[in-house]
Amino acid sequence: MIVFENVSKIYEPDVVGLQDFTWHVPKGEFVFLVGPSGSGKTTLIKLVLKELEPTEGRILVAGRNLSTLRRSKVPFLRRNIGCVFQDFKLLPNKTVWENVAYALEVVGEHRRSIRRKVPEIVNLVGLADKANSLPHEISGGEQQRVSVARAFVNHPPLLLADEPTGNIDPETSIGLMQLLLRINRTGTTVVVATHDRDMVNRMRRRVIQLEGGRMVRDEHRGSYDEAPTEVTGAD
Amino acid sequence: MRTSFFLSEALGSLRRNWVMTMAAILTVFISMSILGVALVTDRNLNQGATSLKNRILIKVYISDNATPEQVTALQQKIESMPQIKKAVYVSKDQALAAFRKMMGSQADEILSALPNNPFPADYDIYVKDSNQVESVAQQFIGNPAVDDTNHLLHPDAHDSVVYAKKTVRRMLGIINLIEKGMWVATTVFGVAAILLISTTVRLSIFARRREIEIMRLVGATNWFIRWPFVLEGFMTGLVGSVLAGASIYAFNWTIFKWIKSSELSYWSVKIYPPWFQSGHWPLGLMPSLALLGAVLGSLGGGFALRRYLKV
Repeated sequence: MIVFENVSKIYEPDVVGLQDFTWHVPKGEFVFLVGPSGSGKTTLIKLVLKELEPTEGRILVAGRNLSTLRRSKVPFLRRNIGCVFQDFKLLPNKTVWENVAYALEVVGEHRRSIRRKVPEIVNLVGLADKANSLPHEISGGEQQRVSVARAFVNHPPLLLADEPTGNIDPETSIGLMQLLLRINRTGTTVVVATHDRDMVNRMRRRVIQLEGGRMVRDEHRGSYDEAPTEVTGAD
Repeated sequence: MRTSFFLSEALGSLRRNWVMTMAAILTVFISMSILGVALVTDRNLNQGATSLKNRILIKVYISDNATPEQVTALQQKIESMPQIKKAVYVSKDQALAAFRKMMGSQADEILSALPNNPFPADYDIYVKDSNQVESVAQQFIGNPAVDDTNHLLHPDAHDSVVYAKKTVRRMLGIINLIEKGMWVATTVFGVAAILLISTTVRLSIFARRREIEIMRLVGATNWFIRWPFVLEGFMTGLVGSVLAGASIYAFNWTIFKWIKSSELSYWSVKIYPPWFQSGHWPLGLMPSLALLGAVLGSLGGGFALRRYLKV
């Protein structure tokens, strides 16, 4: 689903975002990206979305080579990638229902199928009674679930989450992670960048640790911290 | 295209950002009003100049001593000249009657002091092109049928051929100057209108850059994001310029009324009817202005987005 080959991203003038990063995420996997702030997690996610161009290296997402992907085709790439952000990024003037529907309007979905799909997904994330609320009228956890609903309503093959639990309390976080897990079980590849130690340790999934733009650990069924002896992938 | 979706998006955001909407409409209104007033004034002056030019006439006075043959020859000469649009013969009696009409009760007093009708017969000649007044007038100087004593009556006269050379030249010169000034003003205000509108649009887009970012992340194509903005610009521009058109119409109408009621009507200054069709504005000035406002608004909405749409 995602292939990085020797990817580097250097920000002007010489800040390292990502350095010589090689990575492969097979279809259907659930991956945690861990590491301190500035270690390159967000850079990585932006590269996958082609919000940023790599300074060097090759990136393939869902079989597309991003360096040869024309700018006009980028929206179509993004339709295959659901996104969840720490700050939710909901349209503030639209209701829960409209926010989720927007992702379908963008794809040119028919009115009738929008009316069918939106309630389905809003139910799935447990917000049926809040469908007509505006984002500022609901809690942070609920907003994040709306954002997950929006990301998943198209049933994209890939879902990226950047610090999805960063702004919500631990108990709500568990619910959110379970939601992401459920989405993963439908065959969607899920990549979660997080600081949330409990979450990572509880889930025991593939963990990739970043530091200063380099991969210092790639471990299956890993935890947030690991003994240095088990570090792989570092040079 | 999902017209109804884009339309409801545009209307919704116009309503939500109503302060910005008002500001934008006001901006369009003011810019288009200034532009429109400049255009209307220019057209009015043009009309005035044209009607003035059409009124320039050459008076060729016929000597009382001229023989009928000489008068016939003069008439044939006039008829043969292609530059002349029309020539009207005014007899001695008609000239006297015109004098009486002009002077009213004073006429008898003046005329009683004279032994006979002092007014010569003449040809009132209208030329096709006002620039040819002089060259046409020159052709009659020295003609045997033409009286060359009457120049005393007209300080502006060149021998016995009279045409309002200096006055007309001065008037046309002034009108020409004002017209040129108006074109400069029109251009300046046109550019100002475009800048003002695009600044306003850019401001309103800046306020919504987050929204645009989200749309892009969800996979909206640039045109999908752009359409509501273009529609918004279109509606704002249309409302603003229709208001401007209405106020210019009122302005023009007021001036028209004022000219009609004042002595200026002597010049029969014609006011350009702004809603009529004319050569310059095939659709009529007001509809053109409304369309221009709408197009400017749409372009403003579409173009101002560009920097936020870079992937």
